[in-house]
Amino acid sequence: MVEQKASEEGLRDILMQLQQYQASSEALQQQITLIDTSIRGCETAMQVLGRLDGASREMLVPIGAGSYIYASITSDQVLMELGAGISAEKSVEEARQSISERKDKLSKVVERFNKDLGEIHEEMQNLRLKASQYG
Amino acid sequence: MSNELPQQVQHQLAQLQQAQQQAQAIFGQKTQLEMMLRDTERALEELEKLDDKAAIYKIIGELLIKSEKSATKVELAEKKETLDLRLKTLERQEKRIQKRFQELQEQLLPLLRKEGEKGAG
Repeated sequence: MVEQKASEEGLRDILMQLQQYQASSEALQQQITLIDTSIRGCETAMQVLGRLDGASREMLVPIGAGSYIYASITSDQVLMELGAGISAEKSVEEARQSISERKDKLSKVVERFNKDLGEIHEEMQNLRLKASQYG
Repeated sequence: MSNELPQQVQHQLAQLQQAQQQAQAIFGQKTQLEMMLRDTERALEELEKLDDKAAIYKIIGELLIKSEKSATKVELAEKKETLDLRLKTLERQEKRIQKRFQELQEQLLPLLRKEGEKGAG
């Protein structure tokens, strides 16, 4: 009777730990998805800035519903968000440099999160193995 | 199950749940403030790298309003100070709640164990 109770408590502990790891894993996964979206945004911005040199000054700007209006670039400056609702004018090269640095920082964070996620999954696997031994 | 528990235990369980909810709410606020603080610090760092005459714009609603570097720096520094202060207050509250949670947990565990033994016996 006492043994059965201890066994039930042990299994309950493992299940609780598994739930906690599952919640952490989901939160990390969400963060990774968000950061990945920011990285794709940096890549798109760098591609656009890369095409500005020597390209035609005329372009089509999307206005929604699959429609575009004609526009032409009248300045060599790029307005770039610095954070906290502040933006500053930068040259194309400065903007490319800043975006590239931002992308590198984000990539490092994703790398770290993926490593953490791997460790969590490994830990969950160990716990599942332990839980199966109770059956 | 809670109906079978004595009222004192039920009351403490409710307090424990309340403390947990408060801790979660504080954690959420803290995460949000930390993000705002990092964003402000990053903006200040980037601002430092710019020329004094660089064109700076501040987003107000949908509009971008031209601003000066020095004034923007002062504004961001003040914002950082306020965020730091609010964060410290939240950290103090968080510690208090955690302590309370731990105390309640320590009081409740032996009571619940005792109830469990009664049920088994």
